[in-house]
Amino acid sequence: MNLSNFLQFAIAQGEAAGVPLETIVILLLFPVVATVIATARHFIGLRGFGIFTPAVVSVAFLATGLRLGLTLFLGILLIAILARLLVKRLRLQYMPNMAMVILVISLGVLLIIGVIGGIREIGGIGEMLGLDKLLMVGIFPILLLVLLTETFISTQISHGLKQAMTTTIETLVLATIGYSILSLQITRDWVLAKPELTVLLTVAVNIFLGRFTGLRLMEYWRFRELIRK
Amino acid sequence: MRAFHILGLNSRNHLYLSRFNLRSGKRIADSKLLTKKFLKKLKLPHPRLIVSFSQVADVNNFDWNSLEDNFVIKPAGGFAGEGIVLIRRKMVKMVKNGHNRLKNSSPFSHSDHSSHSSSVNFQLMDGSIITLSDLKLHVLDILEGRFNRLNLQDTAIIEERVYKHPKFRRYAYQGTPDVRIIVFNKVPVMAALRLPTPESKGRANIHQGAIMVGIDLATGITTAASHWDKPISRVPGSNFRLTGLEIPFWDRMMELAVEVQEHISLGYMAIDFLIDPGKGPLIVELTARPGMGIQIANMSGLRRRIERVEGLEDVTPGRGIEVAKALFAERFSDKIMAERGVKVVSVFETAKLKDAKGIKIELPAKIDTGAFRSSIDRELAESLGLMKNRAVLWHDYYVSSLGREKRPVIPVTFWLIGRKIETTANVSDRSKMKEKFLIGRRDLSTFMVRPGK
Repeated sequence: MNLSNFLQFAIAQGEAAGVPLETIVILLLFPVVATVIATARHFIGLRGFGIFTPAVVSVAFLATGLRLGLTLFLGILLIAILARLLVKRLRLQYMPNMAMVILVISLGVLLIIGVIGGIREIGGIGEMLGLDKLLMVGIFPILLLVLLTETFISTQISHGLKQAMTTTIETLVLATIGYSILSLQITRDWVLAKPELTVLLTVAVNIFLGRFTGLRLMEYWRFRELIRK
Repeated sequence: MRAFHILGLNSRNHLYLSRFNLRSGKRIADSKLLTKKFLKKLKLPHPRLIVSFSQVADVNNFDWNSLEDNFVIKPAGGFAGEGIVLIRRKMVKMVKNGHNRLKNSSPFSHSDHSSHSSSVNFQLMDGSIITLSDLKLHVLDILEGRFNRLNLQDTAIIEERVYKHPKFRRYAYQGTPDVRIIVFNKVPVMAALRLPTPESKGRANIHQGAIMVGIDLATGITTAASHWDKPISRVPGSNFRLTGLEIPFWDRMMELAVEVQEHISLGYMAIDFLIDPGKGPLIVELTARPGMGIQIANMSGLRRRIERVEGLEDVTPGRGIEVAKALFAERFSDKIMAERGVKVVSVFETAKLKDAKGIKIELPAKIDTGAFRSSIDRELAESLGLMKNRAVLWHDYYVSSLGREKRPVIPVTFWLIGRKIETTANVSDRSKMKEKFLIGRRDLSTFMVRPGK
C-alpha cells in the first residue's frame, strides 16, 4: 500500500468485511456530486437550495429511481401547497404551521400507498410514473423529499412563490444530474477503479472554482445589453 | 463593454465582500436596529425609531393606542423589503349603542367612557384596512423569524414613515423611492434611484419589479434606467422620462455616504437614503452585499470602477467625493450643462438668496473662483434665519490668510442670473466686506466668469 492506492486498499478491506458496494460507491461519488453542484453554481449560475439539499435528493432519487422520485416529489409538493393553502386560514405561527403541513403530507402519502396497495394492478400511466415501485421504497427517500418540501415552503413564505418554483426546478435539475452521476455505470466503475485520482481531481476543480472571479453563464445573459454596449 | 468590466457574483463575493467586509460591519448592516443605533451615535440623519420588540411580552405590554399616523413596521433582520408594512393612518372605530362609526385618529379617542368600547384599525398605503390584532400577529411572525434572512428569531422595529418627495410623486407608485449609493474605499462608485411600481407592490426592490434609475455621480442627474434588468427610458406604461431628473440634496447624500463608511468596517457597501421633503436625506439602510443590477441601470460596469479606486490610500471624505466626481462623471453631465447654456457672470453680481421663510432676498455677491465653497456672512445668515433649527450640516476647517479656522456649513438656495442653485455655504465673518455673500467655484460650474467690468 502506498499513497497512490491507499483508497483502493480501504475499499478492498471494506468489501471483504461485508460493507455493501453501494455504500462505498455513494461515499466516493457524493463529493463528486457536490463538486458538480458547486460548478453549476459558480460557472452557470444555477443556485438550487444550497449544496446539501440537491445532493441528498440525488441520493433519494437513486433509491427510488428517477421516474418515481420525480413523481413522488411533485406529488408531495402538490399536497404541500394545497395543505398550506388550507392551514394558512388558521393563521398559525411558523412551526405549528409547518407541523400541520407535514401532517397533511404524511396522510396524503399514506393514502396513495393505501390506494396502490389496494388496486394491486397498476396500469400503463402508473408504470410511467413509476408508481409500481412505490410499495418497495423505504421511508428514508420519502422523508428526504419531504425535507425539500419544507425548504420550498419556507422559501415561498419569505421569497414568494415564483422564487420558490425557480429554485425548486433548479434543485431538481441539479438532483437529476447528481442522480445520473450516481447511477451511471461508467462513473461507478471509474470511481472504484481510480478513487485516488477522483479525489485529486475533485480537489483541483474546487480550488479553481473557489478562486474563479469571472462572470457566470447566466450573468452573461443578464448583462448582455451592457456587454453589447 | 468587456465582460471583465462587469461585477458578477463571483467577483463581488470573492474579491470584495470576503476581503473588505468584516463581521463587525456586517453585523450592524444586517440588523436595522443596530444600524439605527450606529447612526444615532454618529448623529447621522435617519428615520426616527418609535419602538422595537424583541420578545413576545413586549408586544403585549406595548400601548398600541399610542401609535399615531404614518409609521412603518419592519423586521430588523429582514431582506429585500420582505415583511415591511407601511401604515398611512390610524383609525379608531367607536362602538356605541350598536352603531359603528369610523373616526380619524385623535390622541384622546381611546380615553372614552367605559360605556363605549373602541377598537383600533390601521390603513395601509393602498387604502386597505388592517386590524390591530392582525398587525400584532404580523409582529409576532417577525419575532418568530418568518422574514429573517436566515429564518432566525428576529426583532421587530417601528419607525416613522418618510413622506414621498414631491419631485418623485409622478414617478413612484405608493411607496417612497430610495437612493442607493455604493461606496468603495471611501469613494462613491455608483448610485441609483429606485422607484416602486405596482408590480413591486410599492417596494423599492428591483427583484420585485421596481424601476432602477442610474445617477451621474458628478451632477446627481439621472442618466439611464432599467426595469427587470432591461434598459428603459420612460416609466413603463406612461410618458414620464426617467433621464435628466435632478436628485435633490445630491451633494449632501454623497457626503453622508462617505461619512458612514468611515465609521464601519465595510469596504464595499451601499447606503440607502429616503429623501424627506423637509429634513433632507435620511439613511434608511446599510447594505453589506449590494446587488449587481445597478450596473444595468447605469449602463456601466462596477468592477472597472472599483479597480480604478482600489489603490487609493488614505482617502479623506472630501477627496473621495472629488475623485468620484472626476473619474465617473458621465459625458451626459457636460451635455446637460451645454443644454442649459453657459451663462456669463461678472465678478460682482446681484444674487437672490432664499431665507428661512422661502422669500427671495436680493443682495450683492462676489464671484470668487479662488474659493471652493460659497461663503455667507454670519450676521446675514442669522438675520435670514438660516442658522436656526439645527441648520448646520457639519463643520469644516478653512485655511485663509487669517490662519486655520473652523466654520459651520449650512444649506443655502440662491438664484444667480435666473439660475437656481441649491448648495451649501460655510458661515464666516464677512462683516467688513462689502459683499456679504461670496460664490465659490463649486457653484459656478455652469457659468463663465468674465474678470473685467
